[in-house]
Amino acid sequence: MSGGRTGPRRILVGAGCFADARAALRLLERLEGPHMAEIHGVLVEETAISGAAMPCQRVVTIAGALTVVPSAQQLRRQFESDARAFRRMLSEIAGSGKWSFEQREGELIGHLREAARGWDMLLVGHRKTQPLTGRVILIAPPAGASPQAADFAAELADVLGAPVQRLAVTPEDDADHASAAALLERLGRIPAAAVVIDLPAGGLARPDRLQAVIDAARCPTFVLGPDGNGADSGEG
Amino acid sequence: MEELPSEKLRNRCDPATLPFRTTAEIEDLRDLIGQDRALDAIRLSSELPHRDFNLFVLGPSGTGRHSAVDKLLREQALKRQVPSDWVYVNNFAAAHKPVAMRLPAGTATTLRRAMQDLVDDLASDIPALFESDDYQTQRRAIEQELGEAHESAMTEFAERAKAEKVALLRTPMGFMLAALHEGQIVKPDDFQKLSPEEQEEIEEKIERLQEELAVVLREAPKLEKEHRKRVEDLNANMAERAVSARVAEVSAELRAIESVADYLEKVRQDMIAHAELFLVAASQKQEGNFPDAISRSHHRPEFDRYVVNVMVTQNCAEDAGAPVEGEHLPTLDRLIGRIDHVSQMGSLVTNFTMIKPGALHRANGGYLVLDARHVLSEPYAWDSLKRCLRNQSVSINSLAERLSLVSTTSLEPDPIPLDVRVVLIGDRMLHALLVMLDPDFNELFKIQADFEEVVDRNPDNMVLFARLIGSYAKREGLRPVTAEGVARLLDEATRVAEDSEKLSLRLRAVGDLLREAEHYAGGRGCDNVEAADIERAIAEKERRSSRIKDRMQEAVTRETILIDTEGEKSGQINGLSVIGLGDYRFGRPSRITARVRMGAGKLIDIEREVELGGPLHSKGVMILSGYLASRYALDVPFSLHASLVFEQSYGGVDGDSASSAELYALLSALSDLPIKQGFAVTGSVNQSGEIQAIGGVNEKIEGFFETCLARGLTGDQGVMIPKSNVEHLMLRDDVVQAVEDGKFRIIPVASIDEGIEVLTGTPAGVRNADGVFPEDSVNARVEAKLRGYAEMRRAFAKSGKSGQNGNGEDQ
Repeated sequence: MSGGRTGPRRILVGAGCFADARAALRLLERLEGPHMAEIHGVLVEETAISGAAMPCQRVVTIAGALTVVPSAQQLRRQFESDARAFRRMLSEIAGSGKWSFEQREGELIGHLREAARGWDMLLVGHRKTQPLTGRVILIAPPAGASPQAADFAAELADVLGAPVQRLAVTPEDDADHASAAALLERLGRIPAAAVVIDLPAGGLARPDRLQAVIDAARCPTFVLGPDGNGADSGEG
Repeated sequence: MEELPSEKLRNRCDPATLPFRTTAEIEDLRDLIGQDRALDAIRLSSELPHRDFNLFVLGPSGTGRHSAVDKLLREQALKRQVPSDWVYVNNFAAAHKPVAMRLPAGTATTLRRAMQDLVDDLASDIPALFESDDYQTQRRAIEQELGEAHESAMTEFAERAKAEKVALLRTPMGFMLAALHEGQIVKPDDFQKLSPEEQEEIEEKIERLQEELAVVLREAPKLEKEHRKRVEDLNANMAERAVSARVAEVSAELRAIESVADYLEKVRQDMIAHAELFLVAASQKQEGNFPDAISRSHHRPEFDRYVVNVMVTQNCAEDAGAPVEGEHLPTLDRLIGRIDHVSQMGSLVTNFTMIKPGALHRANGGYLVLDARHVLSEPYAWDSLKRCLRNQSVSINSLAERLSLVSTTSLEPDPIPLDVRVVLIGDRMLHALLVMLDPDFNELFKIQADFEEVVDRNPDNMVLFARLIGSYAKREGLRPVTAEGVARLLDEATRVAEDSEKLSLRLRAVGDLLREAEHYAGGRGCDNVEAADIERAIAEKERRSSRIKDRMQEAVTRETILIDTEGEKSGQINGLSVIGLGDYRFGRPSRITARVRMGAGKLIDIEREVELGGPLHSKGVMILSGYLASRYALDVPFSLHASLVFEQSYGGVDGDSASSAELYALLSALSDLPIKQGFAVTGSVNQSGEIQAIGGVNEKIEGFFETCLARGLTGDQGVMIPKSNVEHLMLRDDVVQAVEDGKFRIIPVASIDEGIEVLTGTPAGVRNADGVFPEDSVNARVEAKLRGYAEMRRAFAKSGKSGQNGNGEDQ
């Protein structure tokens, strides 16, 4: 691992709730410290949640307890509370640096992909379900990740004291369904500290595939070059 | 009455009787002379193995007590086995109760070094071990295994849910499951449109999967616990390999000691359990000038728990024996040890490394010599010393803790078994007080070594004394002393002894005199210390000390203090007293007067009435009353009223050495016979009229001699002393010379009758067969006066004027 820094970055952090955002922001705090050029937070209120409540439905907390599903009003209030907490933590992490925040409503990944255009990196928040550190997973095509992605994964691993594990993703044009399922199957069984996706390298451009990877990883996910133009904008 | 010839006034040593010319020729003498009784007692105490035979050495200072004790104890110590070493080590189970460990002599420091090396080695080994690929691989394997188990369970759940067309949604509160229909989430409105069977199926599915998800998520904390346990096991296994290997390297000689082996096993277990200490220490290590290989990690405070605190370690040289220790400042702490504290964050904290040994620890297995007065004057020191001797163990208790003066963390160290012979050195008064007032003393100090103050002045002892002087001169690097010089020193020792037949054993005073004389001999450029040098040292010492004496003498000469040395006076006599200032004493005359009249048998001691007289003086005066009442006019009531006083005495008067003088003054007043004022008198008297010996006879005679000399010696002047004091005479040469020249007289008397004859020049008189004293004798005149008082008293009573005379006497 080279472990060297790749320079100040402009990062967009997105999540569907503050619990997910907090996991991402803490990781970012350890990784970036005062070196961030700019940070932008996006909290997306997923409409699917409020529309999914049924009589028998319960919420399963992260500790394994069953609680009643909050009403639409409760969800709304919770969302507003999460937004305030997200904003506050964002400002603390940014310190004297530049930062901004916005709230959106709708489908998470779609909004984040849209908002991330022009940013060096997209960090999708996801709370972890187990306490172990885990590994840094670098997902790239079989031909290999870009040097920037490899360096970033190494830097992240160094900060977390975790090893880097590479997983290959087949380019979408010639992707077969079995190969994609194998990736998700493998990814879902690895305890991961964070996932790094080299998006410009190909393989995960489709939002549904990206969503599937993030769901399977169950940890914060860094998407490099989120607008599909490469992850080299973080240099210098 | 016989005057004493000059040769009786001073016992002179003839240098010709000494078998050497200078002390350089004579054999050394390291032993004390005349102290056999005390030395045997010291030997006995040092040899007895039984408890409580501790020793109290009593006697005046300067008699060689300390050196004799030191010499004999060191001789005996060489014959005794070298005692054990003692250390305090950490009690890993209860840190506030440090463990005392007995070790073979001389091994304490070896163990301490071994433990320091062990810590230093492990401070390098353990961090290296935990940074090794082997360890990291094993640790990651554990994490991987447990992490994968959880993630697999989550993945499998997600796959099951997906297979049953259920979506896993994330909400701010947790996960929520939602049914899918054609890839879309079934909304409540759509759900209501489904058939009851379909609704029931979805509800059953959702409920079941919710329970399954809850079970999977509840496993996460257990996973963390399992992970922690397995990592701890791994760490322990790794640390155990390193620690066991290094502990096994500790020398076989140390491990063969049972107590050390037990301790090392406890250390091994503790180091394995606290391996993180070595990792923390490594992470905090500062980059310094020295490479890691020679860094001293054992100095770091976190490794204090492995320190071996050496309380006492013995010298194992071939000529070493049991310890002989002393403590010049025997405070409680310095005697039994102490527990230090340091301030941390405003609190006082301590640990077993701050336990400091005391004199009892150092002397354990041997001898401890202490000054009794110092021990008794230090708060709680005597009490603690007794407790340690009684319990045969040393327990460290701080004074502050005992008095509840401070409230802070403290320790309860194991008591250390005590086998020590304590030797207290003190004076006789202290010994007597301890015997009387401390019931423990006789139990714990069963042997006393009582040092003599004097030894017989016989030829053998004089030669031994000369050898002592010679040895002292050699030991101190002084010039040899000539036979004449030794003879002069012997005479001075006799004078200090206040007995012409004895030699003083206050060797320090002799040594001091010799060193001063040696200085004068050096000034003269002489190779030897001669009699003149000794003489000068004596004279110089006298001169340095005699300022007060000279001023008093001047006051007498100038008649500020009234003393008659010529003529005759009734009811007035020169008494003699001694004033002591440290080790310097001098005599001075005092005028004593007596006044008499008719009364009811009361003898007033004015000194006593004004509380200037001590009890012994009062006793002496009461004896006079008894003498008079039982000797004269036995057939009539004792009808005397008399008063006695030491004129111009403004300080206290004690002792009965002036009681004969007071009686002479009374007899003179009663008989109307004047006393010759050229005499001074000393001696006590009993109710039978016998004169008894007193102390300080030489100083008293010399005091009156100087007064007479200042006014001019007439040849009629002299001092009357008790006959029993003749053998104590060791007068100065100038007094002896004056007597030899007939200018001064020393008259010994055995009874009041003898004395009164000398003083008045009138026979005392002895009752004849009819019980009557010869006419005009002193006694006849006294009896007549007393009888006359009785008659007057009877006549007075008959006249009925009793109570109207206003004299206020008891009737």
